Amino acid sequence: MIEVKNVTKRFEDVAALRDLTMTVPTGAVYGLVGPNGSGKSTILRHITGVYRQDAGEVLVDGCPVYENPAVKARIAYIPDDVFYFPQAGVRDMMRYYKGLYPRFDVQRYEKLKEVFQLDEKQPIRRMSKGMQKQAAFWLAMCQKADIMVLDEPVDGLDPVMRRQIWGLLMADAADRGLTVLVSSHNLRELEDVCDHVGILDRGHLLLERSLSELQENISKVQLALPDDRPLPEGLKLVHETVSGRLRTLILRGDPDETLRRLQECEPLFLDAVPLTLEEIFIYELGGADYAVKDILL
Amino acid sequence: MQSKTSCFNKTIFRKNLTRFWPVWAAYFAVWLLILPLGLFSEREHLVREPIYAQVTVLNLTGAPGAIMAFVFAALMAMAVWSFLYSPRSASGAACLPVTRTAQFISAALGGYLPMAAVHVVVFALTALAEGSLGVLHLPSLLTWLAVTLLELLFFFGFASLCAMLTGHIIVLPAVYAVLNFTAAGFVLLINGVANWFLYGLDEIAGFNVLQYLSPAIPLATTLQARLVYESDAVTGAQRLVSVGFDGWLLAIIYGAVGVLLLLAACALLRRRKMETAGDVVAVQPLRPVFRRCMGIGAGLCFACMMLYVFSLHGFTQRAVFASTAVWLVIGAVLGWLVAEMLIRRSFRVFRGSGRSWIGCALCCAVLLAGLAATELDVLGFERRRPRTEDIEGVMIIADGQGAYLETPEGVAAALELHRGIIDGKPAHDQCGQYAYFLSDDDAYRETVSVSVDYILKNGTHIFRRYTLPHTPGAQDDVAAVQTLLNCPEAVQRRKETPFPFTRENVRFGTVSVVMNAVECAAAAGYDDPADYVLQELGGFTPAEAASLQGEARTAAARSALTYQLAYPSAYGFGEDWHRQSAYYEKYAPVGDSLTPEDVPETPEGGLDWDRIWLDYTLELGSDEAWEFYSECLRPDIESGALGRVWIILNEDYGGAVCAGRISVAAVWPEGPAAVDGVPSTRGEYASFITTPTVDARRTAAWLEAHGVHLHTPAEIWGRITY
Repeated sequence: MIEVKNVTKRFEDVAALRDLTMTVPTGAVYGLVGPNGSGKSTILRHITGVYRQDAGEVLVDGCPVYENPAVKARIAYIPDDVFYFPQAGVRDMMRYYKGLYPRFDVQRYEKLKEVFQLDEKQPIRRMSKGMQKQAAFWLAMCQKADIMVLDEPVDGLDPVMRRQIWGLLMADAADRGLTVLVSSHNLRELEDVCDHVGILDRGHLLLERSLSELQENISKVQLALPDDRPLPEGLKLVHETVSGRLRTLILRGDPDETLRRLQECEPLFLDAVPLTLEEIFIYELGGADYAVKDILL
Repeated sequence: MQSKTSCFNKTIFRKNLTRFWPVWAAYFAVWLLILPLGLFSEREHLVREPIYAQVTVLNLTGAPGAIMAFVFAALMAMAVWSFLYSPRSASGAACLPVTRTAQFISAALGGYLPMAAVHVVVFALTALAEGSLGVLHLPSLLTWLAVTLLELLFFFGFASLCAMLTGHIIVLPAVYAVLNFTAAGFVLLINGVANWFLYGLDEIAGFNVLQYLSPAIPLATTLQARLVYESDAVTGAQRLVSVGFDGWLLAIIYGAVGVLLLLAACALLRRRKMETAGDVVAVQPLRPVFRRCMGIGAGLCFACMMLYVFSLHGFTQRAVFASTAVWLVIGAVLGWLVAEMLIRRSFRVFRGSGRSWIGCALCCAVLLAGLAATELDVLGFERRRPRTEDIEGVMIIADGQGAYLETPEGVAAALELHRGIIDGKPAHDQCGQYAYFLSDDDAYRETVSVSVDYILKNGTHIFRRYTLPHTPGAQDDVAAVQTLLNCPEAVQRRKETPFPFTRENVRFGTVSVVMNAVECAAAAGYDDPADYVLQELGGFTPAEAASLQGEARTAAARSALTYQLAYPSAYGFGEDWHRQSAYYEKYAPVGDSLTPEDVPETPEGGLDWDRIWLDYTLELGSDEAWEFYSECLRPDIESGALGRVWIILNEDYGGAVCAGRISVAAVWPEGPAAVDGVPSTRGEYASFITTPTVDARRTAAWLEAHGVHLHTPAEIWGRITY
């Protein structure tokens, strides 16, 4: 389990993380979402031991990560901007990681050669961005880590390779209980793979729930009421759009209870529509002053 | 989960070894060229004199070793710490399951050890080379190996520490170079400014100590072979007999400091914030220090530069002070702004916190306060003279002429002279380090550089240097200096020999004077000066000289004289040559070169032998030399007629000295080279050298008796036409 407790980090005058607390359960696939500059990469770098927090704690199974090789050996990290030695090919880096990560699995490396059809001798820096990401996944998956930390991992990968990689990761999660912490803007994709979601805004965790909990707490309803009748009192309206008599409502709270209350208004039309993660993200952040603005140009 | 602590990671070590091979390969190539191949190129000389192999090897610990270590340690540090300078590589390294300590040790060893291995290989190859030449000397080679390894350790430690201070790979070599010379640079800058305000300042005290904070300088200049020479008892020729090395302590101290610097670098890496990759200053608390050092350094630098560019000699002290103050402030503000731009990585430094500008103002205030304190001499530097009872001796040097005084009378006279110079400050104030044009009348004034060095009983020195103006004919401090230089104590001491000259140990003497051709011919036993010129200077045999007649004889003599004419501005006359040359330059400047047409002629077209001045040398055997020394030179010195010096080159000087030089050589067989008190052919060699003067009557009479005529520069100058 990854525990981030009240972590604060400042970069000179800028507060990148503000009293951030989050928990990633063991075996979870945790999606970390948030707008640009919300601190996603920063917290991932704390979790991988790159940065030292100004305050708070970053723990993996109760042990601090920073300057703790035993913990770091259990974490595989694929940053947004992958680094390899300038002249190194995949095989060179494999040898390097083999010397550093005690559980590095060479047999798996050989097996994965079929998946990632890359020239092992070609310097990685000369590969395309997508191929570099493939190389990163290839090497990271051989580390046999307990925790995989991924920062915008599939950025640059083609759809087939994305699906292939997610398949491998999910298999590892199922087989070995791999914990995956992934930050991405591709919410559609996260929705398919994550079971937990954390929304980060301005260095602070806005909410953290399992995906099902998240979806159970907010609902999207389309309804048409007779005569301009008002909505029942006590509903937590997050967002509303009106098209003629048809109103689309985003409402916080138990979806069943919300529907029951709306039924009381004897609507002409009432339908509950499933919310995507992207919509949840947009409407949750809308409450934190990060809504999509209608700008007249 | 307990973390397993390891201080070394062989994968990182191995990776550094293999990744950065071009650095140590280049290092190896250069050392290969310098040492084994360098020795081979000198093989003929070394086989003849094997001892020079030791000298060559030991001297390579100095400047070559220090420069090599200085340059390649920086390159290797740039290579092994390069991962700290981009956010990608810094993250890549920091997330590895290795402690920072292990990362540091593995990378540092991966950088240092291959270069150390280069030294061992070069040592082995050099031993082979020396062995093949038959000049193998292992102790000197081992000394080279150990000392250069220590130098490399120091510079690698220094460069590694610099690497931890910055987050930018281009800044690393700049910081490394600047910090290596900061102490010496600051001393020079402070000196450069203070020299304009502190009367008598030569250099600020403690420079010798401070230079050790600029390590490249002492290592390059101090580490070298110590050569022990002995003189041949008969010829006086010196011969290298043994080679030593005194640089061990310095090398060991710097090596130990290198280890400490590595430890400091390791501590900084452990605390390093990886997000500082790309920053000019990676250690947050050092940023204000960086700004202040840049401000003060740039202020001093700018003021020094402006004082040099706009030489303010002749301006009032108030004007110099005001100008310097303005330059200091401008420089400090510029330095501060540059520092701010580097730290913020932006040119937009004018917006921001006022606190930063308060720091800039403080820098300016410190510089101005320092300038004011210097101008007002708050430490009493200018008037400080030691107490008589604290003085061991005083060395006065003026224009290269020195006098060491240690008697109570001599010391009192030196203190009195110094007091006069100090009191004369207002008159001398406008006189800089060089001759200058007065602003009021543009009259050129001569200046004399005078230094006063008090050697105190506690072993310390008080040293002052003044540039005194001298107006010919006027009573001034320069005349007082000359009087002191020629006081009896100074004259006696100046001509003391390092050991007593006796009939037994005086070997030979030489008298070199300028005489006209007629006198030279007579002294050499020729009736006709043309015969003297043709045979002695032209290399003709007596028969060939006799066969030449008329115009052919004149032409041959003219040709033989072309390069033999006494040429004061080029050669001068003896020990006093540079003053005599200066005298001639002043009163009788001649051209740059002499041609056959320059040889003086009579109106009839023949050569004017009376006006043809030549260098004539009389060589004395041991008996003659002893007689001349004991019966003429010493009595003339004791009477004060010989041994005087002149710093005022006026007409009095031109009529007082004679154009020539006298030297008497002796050997001290019981000198340091004697083994167990048994005299040997080796010994200490010494020469007594003096310039003859008109007053030295015994000397002049003895020389006259031996056919040598003395002439004063004034006399020759009046007769030289070329």
